[in-house]
Amino acid sequence: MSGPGEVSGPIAVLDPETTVSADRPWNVVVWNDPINLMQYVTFVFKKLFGYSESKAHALMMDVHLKGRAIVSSGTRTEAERDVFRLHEYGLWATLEHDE
Amino acid sequence: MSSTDARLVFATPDGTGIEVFLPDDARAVIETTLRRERTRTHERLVVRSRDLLLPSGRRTRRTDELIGEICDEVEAVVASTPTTIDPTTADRLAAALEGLATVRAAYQEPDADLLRSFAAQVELATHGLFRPTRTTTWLLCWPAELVEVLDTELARLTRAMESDDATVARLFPAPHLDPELAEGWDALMRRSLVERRLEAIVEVRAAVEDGHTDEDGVAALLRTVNDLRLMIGTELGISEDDDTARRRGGADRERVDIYEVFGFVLSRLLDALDIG
Repeated sequence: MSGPGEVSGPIAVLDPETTVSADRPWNVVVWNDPINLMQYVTFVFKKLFGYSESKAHALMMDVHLKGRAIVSSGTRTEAERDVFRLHEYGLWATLEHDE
Repeated sequence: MSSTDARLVFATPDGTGIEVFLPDDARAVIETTLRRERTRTHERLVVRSRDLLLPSGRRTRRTDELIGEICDEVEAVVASTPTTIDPTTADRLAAALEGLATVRAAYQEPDADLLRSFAAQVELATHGLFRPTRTTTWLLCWPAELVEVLDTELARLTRAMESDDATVARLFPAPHLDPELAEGWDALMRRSLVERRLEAIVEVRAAVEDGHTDEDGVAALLRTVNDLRLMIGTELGISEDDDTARRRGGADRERVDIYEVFGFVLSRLLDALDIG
């Protein structure tokens, strides 16, 4: 058993790739679909994320024109929670690990 | 008033009239507007609004009289706020506010948006499918035909979810593009989403039957009506923006009509929530 301040073995060398990977956030992506109303999508972004009208509208337009938009980022747990809430509102959302 | 999105008008709790509440700054803006338009000679004004058709440079005296009557209608309510008015008076107020807004917009006055918002709120509280009250309660004033359609479609939605029908695939999209990343989470998520949706359907049925609901009920209604559109849109094979129009006139016409009705309902609900 090692006490405080003692080093009982070789100091672990962190793999830089592993360290970077752990810090990479998970993104929540919303995809365009032909059924959800633009007004509805904007409303959902405002309600779920507390975004302003202008930010929610800009994200909605990104979804509509570019096909997708990242609407939130965070830990995997946070991102999964956001995806669940978006699915509850009928939006097509997926998780992706930040590149 | 600096903002056009403050809620000024509410349905009475029993839905038989509307209550108008104007903060001091809003009242001051409108009183200034009334004074200005009563004293202005509208020689060059050209506006079209409902009963207000005013050709430029002609019938100026009649134009001024019409605008004076509009101002009288608005002032009668504004001067007595807070006040409760009946639907007939509310309709006259909405028309007068809309007319006054049109006049002010013709002069490019910034209060035109406020007057239009005020008019829209009077219309919403008097005739809307969803009418806000002064509390957190919303009145649901739906025609019987709409309630019947909703009831039928909710039953179909329930059956489709319970039988994992393909028409509800859009309600349960894959949470990961890479299935390996899901690690079973998608199945767990689906079960939770089905439960939440079934709970929402129960809440919606109760709200429609009671004729009123609270903010949680409104959220359930919003999600459920959207779910119905997702289900019916999938049935119709809508896969491109504006696909509905191309399908109109075919064998699916009745389903398209229902799809569009729910689009209208959803839009009206969002409009109502956007104010305040």
